[in-house]
Amino acid sequence: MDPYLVTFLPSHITLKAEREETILEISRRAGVDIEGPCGGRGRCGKCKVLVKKSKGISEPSEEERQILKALISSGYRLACQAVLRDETTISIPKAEKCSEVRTNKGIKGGFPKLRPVSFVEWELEESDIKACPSKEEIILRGLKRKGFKREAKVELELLKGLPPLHELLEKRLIFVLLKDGEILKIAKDPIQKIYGIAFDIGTTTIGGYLVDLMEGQVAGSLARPNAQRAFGHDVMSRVSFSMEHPKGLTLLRSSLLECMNKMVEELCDQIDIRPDMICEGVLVGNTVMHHIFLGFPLKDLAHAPYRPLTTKAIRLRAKETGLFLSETGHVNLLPPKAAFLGSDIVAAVLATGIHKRKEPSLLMDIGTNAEIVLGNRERLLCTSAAASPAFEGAHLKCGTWSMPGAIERVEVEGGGQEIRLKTIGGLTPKGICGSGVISALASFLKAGLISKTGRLSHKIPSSRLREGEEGLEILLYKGEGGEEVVITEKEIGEIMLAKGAIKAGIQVLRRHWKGEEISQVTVTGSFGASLGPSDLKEIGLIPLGVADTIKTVENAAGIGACMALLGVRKRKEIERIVSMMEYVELSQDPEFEELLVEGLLLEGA
Amino acid sequence: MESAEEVLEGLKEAIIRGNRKGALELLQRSLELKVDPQKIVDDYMIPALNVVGKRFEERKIFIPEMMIAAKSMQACLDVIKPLLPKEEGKKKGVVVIGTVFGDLHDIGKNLVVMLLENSGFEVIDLGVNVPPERFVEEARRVNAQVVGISSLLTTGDPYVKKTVETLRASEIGDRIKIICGGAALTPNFVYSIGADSYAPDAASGVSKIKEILQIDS
Ligand code: B1M
Repeated sequence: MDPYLVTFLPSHITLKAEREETILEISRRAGVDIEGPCGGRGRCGKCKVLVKKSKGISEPSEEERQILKALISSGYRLACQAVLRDETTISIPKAEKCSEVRTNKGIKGGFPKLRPVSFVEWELEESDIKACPSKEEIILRGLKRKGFKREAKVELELLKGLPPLHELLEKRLIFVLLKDGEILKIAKDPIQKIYGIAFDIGTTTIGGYLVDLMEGQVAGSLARPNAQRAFGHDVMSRVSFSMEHPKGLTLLRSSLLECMNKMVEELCDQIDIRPDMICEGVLVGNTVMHHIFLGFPLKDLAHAPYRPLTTKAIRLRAKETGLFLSETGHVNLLPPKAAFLGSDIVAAVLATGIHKRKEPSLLMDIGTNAEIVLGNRERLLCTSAAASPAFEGAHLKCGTWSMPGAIERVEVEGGGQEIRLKTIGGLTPKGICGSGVISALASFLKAGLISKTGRLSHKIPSSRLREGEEGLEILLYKGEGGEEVVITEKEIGEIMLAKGAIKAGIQVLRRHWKGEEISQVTVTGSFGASLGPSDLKEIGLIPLGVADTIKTVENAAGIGACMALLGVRKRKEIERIVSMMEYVELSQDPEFEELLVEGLLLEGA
Repeated sequence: MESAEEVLEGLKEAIIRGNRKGALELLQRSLELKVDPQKIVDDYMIPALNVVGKRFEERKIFIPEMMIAAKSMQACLDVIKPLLPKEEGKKKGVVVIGTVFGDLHDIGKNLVVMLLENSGFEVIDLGVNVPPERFVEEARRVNAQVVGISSLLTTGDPYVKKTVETLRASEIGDRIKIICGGAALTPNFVYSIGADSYAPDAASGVSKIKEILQIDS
């Protein structure tokens, strides 16, 4: 067919297309940001665009008709469904842009004091040269002389950067940095500063931490949306994408690396250093992200029996991975436990230290999936329970990411007469995010305006309660321009289902545990930590009888990754945690369904 | 003392409302009142579940209430089934159903099975993680009219496709009707791979099956 031009407004980016392609596919090539939560399946409706004019476009699909309804006649289409074959101009509605997600500030949360690296000054001696046949051994002999009894190892890569021996003899100065016997850097001049970087790669957000290795302190932190979101919002849609498109995995990988390299630069700019001053990296994340970073095929994560390619720790030269750090820098990928229990939850165990406590603790990372660990210093049980994309605001009628303008708290007063809303950044409400929905549920419950089976009460003033397209709904906000934010009974049901699945996961672990009652609950993950602990109790996510105090830690996985940055010992501890963890499979559990139905109810039982 | 009719109506209501304990008590009482178990099932329990399915389809109730109601129904069925005479009677049709290969979700599929049985179908449930060839073998063995495929994972699409293709290529391919459902699927996809029908929820699954088999009620 003849090539044709496609123009995207308002950016006026124009691109040549040569075959029949969906608007979404073309937009990805053009670098135009269109959200694709469901991975281009025509399910979520978030990729809605306005077709201004077109000389060749497919007829609306059944999915488009169902989702867009009357909007179709005004020219709206779903970018993932509409196939172009001739000149077209498309306008992208000003929507939640990736970059607006609440990630611009640094990452909150306290960091433990980390152990700084040690520093050794060493002079090259004639005797070393006489005694050794190679540069490698000369360095090692020198170290031994300095009192390093343990077998030290030196990466040949580090030696490649050194001046020739005859020059070194003249200068007679080498600085070696060591941590737990590992040589990070060798230089001929005094080293001013040396940094490490830790990444927590989530499906939605990537956290980055720059650590000053000499001080043992986090010097800067940053969260950015994972750019892979254009290929689907949840991990499974990305796994599918990698298998359905010939270059899928490469695309996912390069989009991840681009994102990470950009973060390296931004973090460096924060404290005015250069990426080549970063000599060590630690990566944690869910297992799909881990595999994508390494370029491992995702097929085994797509179907039962779900097995990761490896559950061992991996250490690689940074430059081999495409991450731009120091020439001689390394990255360590901490080991995942299972296909749906990534190194992030393992790092969170390290950070919270539940594997060292005598009393049992419950640790949960809640997001679209919930990773749950129950245990103490003797035994750690773990599982992964599917939850719902609704937790991240996706698939809700008025749902948004946790971005400025998203309703994150809902308070009810006067029997529902007054509803007070708190939005992120204090802006006028643009929609509601997952934590807002949970907060609303908790407040309605407290006010007796919703039944434990999720039904809205007719005590709610009629100005707020109404029949919508999807059944009964409650109006939370109506703006001057008529824009509205509602929650429907159907959505409440979906949230309850997800909550039920998580609770059932906890209950299955408790049944396997059999021991002493849980004395401490920690909730982490950016969604989990945004929930009010009292809300979690109110809606009954945490079973009764379990510790009263619920602690939230925003970034336990990131903290764990930073800790692992500072020493082989911590990385060994991580490996020990992985081997301590016993995986409990929920899909084979005969009681799961029963527990899920019990767990759905909005009550603290 | 209340009449048998009151007790039975109460039982129906308790199932609809998902009051499992109440339903079990009322069931016990109806049995004590010597109501014919077949009558309890046919005239009260089955209609109760049909009400639930219909309300769900009409968006009057949602997943939690449907699941809770289904649990009460199941609990009552467990009690009463042993008391029923061995089944004979003509079934509306034979349906072979299962969750697609690679997928272990079965809660939604179990609901579909229950509603189908409720509506008078004979259902052969193959469970989860069912390879395409098993669907064919079983459908042939029991001489099924319909094969139902449930799929909850996005990554299951290729196997749903393969299952439909394998069925179509088999000797029963031109007479077997195929219906697919489950949260991962879209109607477009389901029809594009050559299945006969798509159902967004359990109740419509039953009505769609009746539709493709041209059964009136
Ligand atoms: C033949 O004709 C028909 C007709 C209609 C049919 C039909 C067939 N089949 C279904 N229907 C229709 O009728 C039913 C009633 O109206 C409906 O059935 P549903 O099944 O949709 O509805 C049920 C009544 C209730 N719904 C459910 O039972 C599913 C609920 C959620 C929370 C869910 C659950 C409970 C589970 N899970 Co899973 N799980 C999720 C689900 C998220 C969600 N909010 O939906 C989902 C489906 N899971 C997901 C995932 C990723 C996973 N899960 C997994 C495991 C599990 C549990 C074991 C924990 C548990 C399943 C227990 C069981 N025995 O089934 C894993 C895989 C296991 C496997 N190999 O299958 C794992 C891969 C990961 C993990 N965390 O462990 C996600 C899929 C994402 C995607 N894009 O593909 C998911 C959407 C959650 C999420 N994270 O977003 C209709 O779809």
